[in-house]
Amino acid sequence: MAITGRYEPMNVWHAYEASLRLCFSHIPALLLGVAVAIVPSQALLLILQSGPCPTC
Amino acid sequence: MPDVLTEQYGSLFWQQTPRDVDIPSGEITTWITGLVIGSLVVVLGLVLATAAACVIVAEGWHGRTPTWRSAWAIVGRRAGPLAWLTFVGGLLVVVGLLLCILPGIWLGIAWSVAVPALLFEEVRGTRALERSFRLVRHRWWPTFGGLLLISATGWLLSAPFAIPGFFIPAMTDDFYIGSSLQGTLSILSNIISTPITAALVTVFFFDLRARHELAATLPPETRQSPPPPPQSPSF
Repeated sequence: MAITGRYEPMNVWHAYEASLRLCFSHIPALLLGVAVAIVPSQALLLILQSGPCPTC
Repeated sequence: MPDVLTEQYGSLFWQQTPRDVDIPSGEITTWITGLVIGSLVVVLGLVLATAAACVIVAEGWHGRTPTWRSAWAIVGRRAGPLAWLTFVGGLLVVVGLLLCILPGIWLGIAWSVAVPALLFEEVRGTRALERSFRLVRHRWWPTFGGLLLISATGWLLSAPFAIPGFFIPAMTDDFYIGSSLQGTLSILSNIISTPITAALVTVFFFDLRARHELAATLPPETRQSPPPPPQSPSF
């Protein structure tokens, strides 16, 4: 995906505010988007961790 | 009597074996190998999740309405390069951390916008790391400060899920119930904190690129040279 256009330089605080604003305005897509990768991978680790634990 | 004490004391902490039995070393090796593979899959999952969040934030930045499906259509096509980038970058950052920690932190910040560079500029592998390095080079401290600020914010917002995880071992004696609860809380915590960090990384990437392009468009003679002397009046 090529991103084109004009961007104005911003300071750290403005970047911080902009990123939080973007996060909160797209919460459903972001939560679903990250959950698609995080849930299966961490569930696999959980299964491996609680599998045949030899010391428990 | 000593067995009873061992049983009672050992049940407080999972790390301790409550009974004195011989454990075959092969079983432990298999278990640890599984955990190492599982941990690598978790790291890869976090990078792919970060990439998906970067695409969603970039779409929102450009005024479009992003969906998780459209983001994954883009990330799915770049899963291989993202995995390679994670492997190369992660390995070098770990080597840097082993060399008295600071080199690893410095590299980690310098390469912090490598994922958006790979996604939005079609650069791959070490070229994405180089691109990130060039963009962050003169803005290392602001990038470090911004990432510190957003990490603290992400930690605060995910704290309701992260903090109870520390107390679960004291609340239950059952290893399986305890680890399941801890794992679930860890998943929820990561789902909240990952998009926040990815959003700042994406915004920083566009900002750094804007600065880079702005500097490149200025004529070389106007960057450092003093203003030209006034012309002598002509008659």
